[in-house]
Amino acid sequence: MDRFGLITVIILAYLAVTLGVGLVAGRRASRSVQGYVAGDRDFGLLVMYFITGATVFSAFAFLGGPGWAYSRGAAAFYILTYGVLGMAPWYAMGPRVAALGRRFGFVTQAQLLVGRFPSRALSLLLAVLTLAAFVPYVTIQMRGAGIVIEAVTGGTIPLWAGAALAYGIVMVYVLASGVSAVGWTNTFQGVFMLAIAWVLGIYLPYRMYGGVGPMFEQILAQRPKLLSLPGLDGSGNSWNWGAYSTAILASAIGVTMWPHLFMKAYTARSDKIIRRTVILFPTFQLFLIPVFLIGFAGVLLPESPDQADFILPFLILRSELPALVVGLFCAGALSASMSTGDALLHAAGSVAVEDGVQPFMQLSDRAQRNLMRVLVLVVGGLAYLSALYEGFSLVDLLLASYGIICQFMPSMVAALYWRRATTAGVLSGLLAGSAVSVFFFLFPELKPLGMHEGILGLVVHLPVLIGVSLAGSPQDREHVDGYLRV
Amino acid sequence: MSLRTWRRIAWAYHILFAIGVTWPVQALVNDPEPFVLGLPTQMMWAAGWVLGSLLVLWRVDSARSREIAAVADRRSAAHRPGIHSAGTHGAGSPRGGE
Repeated sequence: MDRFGLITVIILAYLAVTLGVGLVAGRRASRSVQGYVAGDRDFGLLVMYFITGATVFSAFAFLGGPGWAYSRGAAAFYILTYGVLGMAPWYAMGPRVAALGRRFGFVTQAQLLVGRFPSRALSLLLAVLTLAAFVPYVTIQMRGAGIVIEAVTGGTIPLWAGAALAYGIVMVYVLASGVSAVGWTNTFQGVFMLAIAWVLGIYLPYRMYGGVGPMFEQILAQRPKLLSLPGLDGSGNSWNWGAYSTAILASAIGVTMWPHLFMKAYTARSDKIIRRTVILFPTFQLFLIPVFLIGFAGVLLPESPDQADFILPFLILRSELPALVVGLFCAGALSASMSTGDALLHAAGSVAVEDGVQPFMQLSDRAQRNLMRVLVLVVGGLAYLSALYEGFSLVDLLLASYGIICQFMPSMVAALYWRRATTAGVLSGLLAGSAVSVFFFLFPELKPLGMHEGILGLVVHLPVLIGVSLAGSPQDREHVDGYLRV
Repeated sequence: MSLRTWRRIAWAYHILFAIGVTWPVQALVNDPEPFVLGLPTQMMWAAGWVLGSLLVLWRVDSARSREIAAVADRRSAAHRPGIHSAGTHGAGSPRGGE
C-alpha cells in the first residue's frame, strides 16, 4: 500500500471507531428530550472532563493556535490564558445552574434565563443570538476538518469533500444518539488530541532545531518581534495592547457563557463532578503549549503554506514522518474539530427547538426530538456552505462569535445573583449590548484602542441593564427566591 | 483555613490572574529571556497562572470536603442517644449538594 493509501486507511479507521462509539453510547440514554439533550443528567467525571476540554479546544486550537504562533508570534499567548479564566467561575456557578436545572427541569441556558425573566421575546432573542454565534463556530470546525484531510491526502480529497465526510459522520451519531454520543466520542477524541499534541509539539522542535530552547534562541536572533507581546496583527504589523487584553477578557467571558458548555452542566451526575471538572480543566489547557511549539517550529522555514492555518499539516508533511504517524496526526486534528462540532450541532438543534419554537408552539416530546434533528441538519448545512469560503482565518471567526456570546454574561449573572434585576432590564441590556457589538464588528476601524467588540458591547450593556431594572418594579419576591436561594 | 477564606483567596487569585496577563502588568513581563525550560518567559508566565488556578481551586475543594465531613460529624454526634447539642441543630452545610 502506498503512503497516501495508508494515511487514508488510518483516517477511515478513526472515523469508523468514532461512529461506532457514538452509536453505541446512544443506547444508554432514554428516548426522551431530557435523554437527548441532557443525557438523563448522568455523566461521570471522566466524560465531563473530556466533554469540557475537548469541546473548548477545537480545530481553532489545533490549527488556528499553531497558525497564530507561526504568523503572529506571541499574540497567540492570549489563547493560553483565557480558557482557565473563563472556566474558574464555573466552580461556583456550575453547581448552582445544575441545581436550578434539576429543580425546574431546564435543559438549555435560555430556559434558565427565561425562567427567571419570563418573556417569549427574550427566549427568541437568545435562540437567534446563540445560532448566530454557533454558525461561524461550526464553520471553523468544518473548515479545520477539510483543511487537514486536503493537506494530508495531497489534495486527493479536497476541502469540501473532507469536511463533508467528517461531518457526515458527526451528523449520523448526533442525530441518532444526542448528547450521549457527544460525551463518549469526546472522551475518545480528547485522549487522541492530548497525546498527538504533546508528542508532535516536543518531537518537531527536536527534529528541526535540536530542542525547544534552541528553537526559541534562533527565533529570537532572527525575528525578535515575534517573541515580544502583544505580537503581530494579521498583516504582520505590531498588534496593540488594547486588542490583546480585551481578546483575553472577551474570550474568557465567552467560555463561561457558551450555551453548549452551559448545557453540559445539566448533564452531570452530581455537583461534585462539575467542581472536579473545573479543577482539572487547567491540565487540558496546558496542551496549548505543545500546539504553539508546532507553530513556532515553522517560523524559520524558507517555504510557507498558502494560509497560516495550514502550518501544522504543512510541517507534518515536510518532516518526512512515517505514514502511520501522519495518519494519527490527522486523526488527532479531526478529533479536535469533530469533538467541538458535534457538541455545537447538538446544542444548536436543542436551543432552536427548546428556546425558539417551544415557547410559541407546544410540541410533543417526540415532535421536539424530530425537529431538533431537522435543525441539526439545517445548521450543519449552513455552516458547511460557509466553510467553503476562504476569506477569513479560524481565529478571526472565533473572536467574532465570542463578541455575541459575551453579551449573555450580564443577564446570567443577574439571573443567578441579583435580586433587583427585571425582565425589561435584561432584554434592553441584551439588545443594546448586541447592537453595539455587531456595529463594531462591522466597522472595526472605529473601535477605540482596537478593543474587542464584545467588551465594547458590555460597556453599554451593563449600565442599560442596571438602569432599566432599577427604574422598573422589582420582581415578585417568592419568584426570585426560587432562583437565588439554591 | 476555612472554606470561606479559601473561596476569597480563589476569587482574589483569578482577579490577579486576569490583571497579570493583560496590559499594563503583562507589558512589564515582556522579555522572552531568560528561557524557562526552553520556553519564553511570557509563555511560562501564562502557564504559571494556569497551573496556579488548579492548585487554588484544589485547595478550595479540599476545604469544602473537610467542612462537609465536619458538618456530617456534628450531625451524627447530635443524633447519638444522650447527647443534646443545641448548637449543632440547624448547622448549615456548605452551599450546594454533592
